[in-house]
Amino acid sequence: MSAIGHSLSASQPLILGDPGYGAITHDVAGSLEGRPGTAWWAAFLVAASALGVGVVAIGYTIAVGIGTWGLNRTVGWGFDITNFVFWVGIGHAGTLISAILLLLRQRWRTSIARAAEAMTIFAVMCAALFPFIHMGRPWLAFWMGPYPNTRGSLWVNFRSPLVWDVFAISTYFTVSLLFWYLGMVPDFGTLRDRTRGLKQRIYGWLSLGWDGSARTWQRYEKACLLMAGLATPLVVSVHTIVSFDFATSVIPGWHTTIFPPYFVAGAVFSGFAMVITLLMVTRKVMHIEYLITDKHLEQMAKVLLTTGMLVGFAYTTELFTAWYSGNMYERFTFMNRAMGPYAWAYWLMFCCNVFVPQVFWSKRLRHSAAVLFVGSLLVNVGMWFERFNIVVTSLHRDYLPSSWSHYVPTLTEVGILVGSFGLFFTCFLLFVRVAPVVAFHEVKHTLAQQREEARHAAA
Amino acid sequence: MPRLEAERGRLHALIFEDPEKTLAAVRQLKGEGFEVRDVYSPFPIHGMDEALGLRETRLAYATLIGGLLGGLGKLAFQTWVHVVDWPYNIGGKPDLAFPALVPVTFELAVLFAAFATIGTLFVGRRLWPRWRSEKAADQPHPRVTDDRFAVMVLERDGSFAPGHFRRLSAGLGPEEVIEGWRVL
Amino acid sequence: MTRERDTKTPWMDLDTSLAPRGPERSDEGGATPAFFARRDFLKLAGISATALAACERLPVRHAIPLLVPAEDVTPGVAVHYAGTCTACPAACGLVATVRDGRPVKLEGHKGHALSQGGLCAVGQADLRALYDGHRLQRPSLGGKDVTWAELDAAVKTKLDEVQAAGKKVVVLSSTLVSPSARQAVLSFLAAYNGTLIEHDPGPGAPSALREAYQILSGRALAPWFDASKADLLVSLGDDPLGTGPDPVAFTASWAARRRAAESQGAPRHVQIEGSLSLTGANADERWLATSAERRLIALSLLSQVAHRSQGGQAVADALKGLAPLGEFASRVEALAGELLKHRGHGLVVSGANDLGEQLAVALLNRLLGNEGKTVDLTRPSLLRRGLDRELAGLLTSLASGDVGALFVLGLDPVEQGPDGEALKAALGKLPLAVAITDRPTATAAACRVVAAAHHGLESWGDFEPRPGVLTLSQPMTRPLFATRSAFESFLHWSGVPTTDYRLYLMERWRKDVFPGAQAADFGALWTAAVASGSVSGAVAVAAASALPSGSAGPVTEALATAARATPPSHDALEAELIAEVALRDGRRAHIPWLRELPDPLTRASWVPCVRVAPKRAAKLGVKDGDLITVEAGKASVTMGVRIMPGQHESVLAIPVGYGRTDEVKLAGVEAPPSASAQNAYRLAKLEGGRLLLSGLPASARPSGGRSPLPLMQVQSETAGRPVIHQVASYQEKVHGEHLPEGRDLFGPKPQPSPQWHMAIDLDACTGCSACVVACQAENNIASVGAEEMGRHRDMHWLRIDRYYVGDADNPDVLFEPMLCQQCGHAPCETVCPVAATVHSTDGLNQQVYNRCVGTRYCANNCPYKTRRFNWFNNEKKLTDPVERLVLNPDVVVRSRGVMEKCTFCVQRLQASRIAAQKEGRQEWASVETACQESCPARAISFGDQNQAEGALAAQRKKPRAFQVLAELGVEPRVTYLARVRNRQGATGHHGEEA
Repeated sequence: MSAIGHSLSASQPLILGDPGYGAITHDVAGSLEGRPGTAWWAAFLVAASALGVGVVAIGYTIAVGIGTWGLNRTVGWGFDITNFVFWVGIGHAGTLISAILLLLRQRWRTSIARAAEAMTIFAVMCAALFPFIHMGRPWLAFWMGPYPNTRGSLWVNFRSPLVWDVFAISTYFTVSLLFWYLGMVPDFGTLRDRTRGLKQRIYGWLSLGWDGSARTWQRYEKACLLMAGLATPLVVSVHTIVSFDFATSVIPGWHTTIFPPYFVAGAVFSGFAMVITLLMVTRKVMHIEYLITDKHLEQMAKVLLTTGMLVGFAYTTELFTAWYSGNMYERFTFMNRAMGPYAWAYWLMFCCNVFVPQVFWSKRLRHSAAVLFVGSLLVNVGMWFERFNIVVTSLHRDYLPSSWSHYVPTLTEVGILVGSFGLFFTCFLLFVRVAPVVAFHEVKHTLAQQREEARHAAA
Repeated sequence: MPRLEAERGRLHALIFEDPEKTLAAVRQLKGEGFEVRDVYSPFPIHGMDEALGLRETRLAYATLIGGLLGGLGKLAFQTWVHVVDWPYNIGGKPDLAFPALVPVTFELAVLFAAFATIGTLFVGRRLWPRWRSEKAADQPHPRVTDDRFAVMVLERDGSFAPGHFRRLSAGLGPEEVIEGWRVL
Repeated sequence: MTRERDTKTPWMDLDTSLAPRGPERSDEGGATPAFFARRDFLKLAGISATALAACERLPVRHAIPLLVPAEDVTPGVAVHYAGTCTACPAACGLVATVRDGRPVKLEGHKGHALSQGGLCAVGQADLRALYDGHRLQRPSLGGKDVTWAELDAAVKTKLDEVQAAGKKVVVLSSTLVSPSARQAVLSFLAAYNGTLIEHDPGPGAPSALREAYQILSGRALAPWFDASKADLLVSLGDDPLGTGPDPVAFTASWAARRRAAESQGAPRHVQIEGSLSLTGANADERWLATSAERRLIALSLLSQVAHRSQGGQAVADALKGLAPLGEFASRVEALAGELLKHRGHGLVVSGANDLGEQLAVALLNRLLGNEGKTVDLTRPSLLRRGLDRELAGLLTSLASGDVGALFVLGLDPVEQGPDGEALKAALGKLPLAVAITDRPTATAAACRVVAAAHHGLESWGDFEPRPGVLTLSQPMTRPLFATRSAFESFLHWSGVPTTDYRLYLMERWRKDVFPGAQAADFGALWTAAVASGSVSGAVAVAAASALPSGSAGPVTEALATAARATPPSHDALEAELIAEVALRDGRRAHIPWLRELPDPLTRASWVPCVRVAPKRAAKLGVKDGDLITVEAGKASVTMGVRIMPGQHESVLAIPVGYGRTDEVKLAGVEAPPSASAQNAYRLAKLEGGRLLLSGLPASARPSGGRSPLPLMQVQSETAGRPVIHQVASYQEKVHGEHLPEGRDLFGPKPQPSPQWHMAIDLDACTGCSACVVACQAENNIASVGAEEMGRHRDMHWLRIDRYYVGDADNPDVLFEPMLCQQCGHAPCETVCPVAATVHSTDGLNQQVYNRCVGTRYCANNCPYKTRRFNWFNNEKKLTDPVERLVLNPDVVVRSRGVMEKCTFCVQRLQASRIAAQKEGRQEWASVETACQESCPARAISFGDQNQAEGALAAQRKKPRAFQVLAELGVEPRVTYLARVRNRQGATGHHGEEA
């Protein structure tokens, strides 16, 4: 067990005031069995209408053409790929929390893992949207897949990072989905045994006939461990491959060897920020503060602080490398980022991602809900702009000054961004209504261990 | 399920409220020579595997095989595409640009490994969509997926001493003892 | 069928197929039967055209016109017809590629004595003008359509009335370069003892030039300038390379001298001007001077030269009391020295419409002994003949009402003249006002009779740009509409027997060109002439007599007057009307290709802009795109500002040709708002019988508001990057960034011949942009309109980057044609997920349109940014069926959402490969790309880089050779040769003298 795990379990319990196994089931499952509250409806309405905006914007784009965006002959990617990378990044925390922390035996993960995994699934869905709609001819998107065809020998170009993306994203999505579902099977079993009628039939179906037999538990835990072992390198590989889109190009500001670790760190950073934002709302709405405790949030705040400093390190390393390389194009690109027409975006990124997390050095601020909430939001803003800086400011002034240009997004693009958030929150809100937002079989397990430790402490 | 050997006998269920007691009960019963067939619990209980004497699962081999299949298969496919079936001068690079083939190979390895793992688990433990009605028969208590723990003891003709069993189980502090929950 | 041009094989005209059979026919008139056949054909064509046009169907839409004999047209096979370009009076030779009875591409005619194979942007775009949906389609009287018979009747009756009333009959035309046309018009006028007044709007070869030679040599002629023999070229505010009367021919000779620099020594070009012109941009040295200063400089040069050359005394005396030169003193002295050093090998030209200056320049050339060498008076230029005073006379007599009939031929004086409104009113009052034009111009609107004229490519014609150079043009297609050749109309009105202009033409040639040729020979000669587009061998020059050296009196007088002219005052603001490379005098301002062509200097397209020096802009407090109102006299124009380094601080340059009211929406392309406030001709001033376009006292004020300029290039400096080079001598080596040889991680690839490679000599390239339009025409590149251009969504596969180097107020200007570099290690190819861009065995970077899904990754990863994305369905905007005829059937029309880019004209490469293989040839490197073919400067060489010999190899071996961004290791297939700026002074073969 790692230090955090120890300190936690030793000092203060992960689950406050021993509610008892039944209570956990009751609270989590109960919220599914009752009717949604007004808060939920309000949130759902907002999210759904945002999604509507996105649908319209995307429809318009596909009907009329990419010309409805602000792109030009010099800047071929703008909001589209920025959003893509942003959402993929968000999609990392879930698997990270459920897989890596599982391998590290971090028990504090149990309360938040489920929600984080759900977040992953939905974020990756949002991300996967953009590679499709950014195409000039999206109706031919299936050409990106290597499938036997009657066009003579005609395959995809496996040397292209975009093809790597296709495989990375789809694999990541599939594996995350499986892992997520695997974790929910026992809980569906519980729900099945609590409900009646149609609900019961559905949960019964989803629970795959789960019984709690010791043999099943044994194989099950093994499977979870193996999946975690698979998901861990996967999660690292996905953002590495996304970073290859840029790293393998020849454009100064893109062609950078530091990108893979830099992107992964950024992904964890933004992912955790998003988890914090989401869970602070969820636990409030569902009154499960004793399950998702300030300790959990504090742990994640610490992760923010760490990864925040990692990306900060990456930023400064970039600057140094640019200067040290002596390559005039490289140097210019970074001068241009910091002082060019998009300097505001650069410094916004820098403040949100490097300076803001520094507040989490203070335990008091780590515990202040307001600070944590605002902080996590700012980090997400900053991380969006990080991607914007990489994509746009590198492109708009590349090698030949004659073709330098400027990029201003259109309303359509903004609409699509809004829509992607709409999609994300709509999915999440539906999820909290139909599936246990907290993995209670895991939480009960944790509670059992907690009691055991308590007894040992007493003895 | 649970898959009991095709033997004649009666199945008694001891229902507990606490994993500790459950584990202790299993140890005791087995120590006293009773045949504990299975334990139902809402979450895994530490040490239960040893107590029941279950042997280590070989699930990991499935994962390995799946991974190898996916990875090598994809590598072979990509090579075939770019070298054999469709060699093309793309960016002046050699037909077999190995480094470029690594990412997709890796992704496919992971994907297949995951499929193999989950698939083996589900098939192996007979986990597939069912209705509850069938399940009712297998669960000695409706709350074993919530906050109850059930220990199943098999009574064979002959070797089983009912008197001793009652005394012992009473001492183990169960919430309730369902004798002859099912007759096999 | 090969695309390789062979102009020697006679084309088969619709009936010259009969001509050779002439001999067997009745000897009278050689091929008479042919004529009848032809006449019948024309009749039928005319009738059917009218009939069909009447019911709104255009016969030419059919792939093969029914009336064309089948043996002349093989479906899908290109035939090449020689002809002459009629887009402007320069009359360059052209060869039209005709597919299925319609021209689809115009090229320069390599056999042409003057243009030598080049064809400028305007000439290239003339094809688009042929298929212009807004052309006049049939004759009209008072606004309603009539038949030609009705129109002719009406005109004749009116003419008789006018004659009876004893009023003047006047034909106002742009210079008639065609002798036959001239004869036709003159004979018409003879019938009504009328007068011909020739006038060409816009700057270039001004009236004062001819007046100067009238004084000097007794004949109002413009000499022919031959820059190919000029070691030292001094140009005072003249722009012969860009917008002169004959840019192609002048560029050809100018570039010829530069290309010969290695052998003949470095030439030198000094430009003295107030606003940056294309010629100025290409000069080795540029002085900024106002019009008044230029006059003074010319006179001072003259006086200094006169002092130091025999026979110059009288001149020198006349120039006593010349105002002091001020800052220019030392430079002028040095320049005078240089001129003297290059006696007989220098050339001085001026663009000023100022008698004193032109006289000074003429005398300079005479005293320096340049006449007969670089300045040819025996075979002068016949491209400009009008004299402003004649125009002035016309306007006054129009006002006084003693003109009864005015025929306006091909001009739009209402909008291209000094006092349009007055003229418009006068036209309205005239008993007979006839507009003979192919466009619904403002003049046409003001005239009651509108004789819809053929486009040049539909009509017969001959041309004589200078004595001894006679070319022909023939119909490349049947008339699209019920129009009629302008000169045929005159034949009809003058009541001569032959009203068929073609017959008339042949008659004249029989008499004048081939005098004494037997009927039989004539048939052959004529066929040959038509086939080759010109008569082989120089014709006897019509009595190119030694010129009477004009009596000293008027000369010195004029000089003295000029010398006494008010000395230049510095801070006074002056307006200068300039022509732009794309629009020239504006007669083609309605062609999208030309409107969308970014000006090589301002890099703005579609929208006109006043060029303002940085310092002046600061004073006025304006920046690019701010609207500014320039007032000169009563008139004023309002345009956006374009800040131009290299502009004289007190000179505002205003382009003519914009703001025409007939600039109706251009099919498929949103034209910018065409407020007549943008018509710069309004500022022109008729003063003392001279039309002043420059040195107009002006005032300027920001008028609030903005007209965003669609700028194709916003960054004008190289930001210290080694992407373009200029050197001081032809031997100097360029120190570009290079990768060490054989540094190739990917291992060698087989390099079977041919491996296509292009070399572009930046020293010869003038930035004239002919190649850009040629590329657009050849490759069906869409015009996207002002708005999209403003969004930097230009579709040009070939663009001409323009960089400023050095002094911010008077920088060196560098042009760099930038196209797909066909990289051997193309970054774009690697990143395409669907392998829509791959490499061909002959080293081409291919773009597979129908495989492209449009991720734009390739464009992002292109270091040269030469890839173009179809943001919308541009092709769908080309709705007019007539305008769709312009599309080149050899090239795919791209749809929405796919990437496109330069292909090195792969359709031509393939055609030549097929031809070569058919003929069992091994090499096929003789093929030319569209840009290369159009280049008047011959700056582009193209071929197989495996060949150790030949033009391409020679270019690549030169020390000036460099490749853009070669250090990236992308192995570009385009080599550039650095521009040379000769600061030392010319080192011509006679440079050692004195």
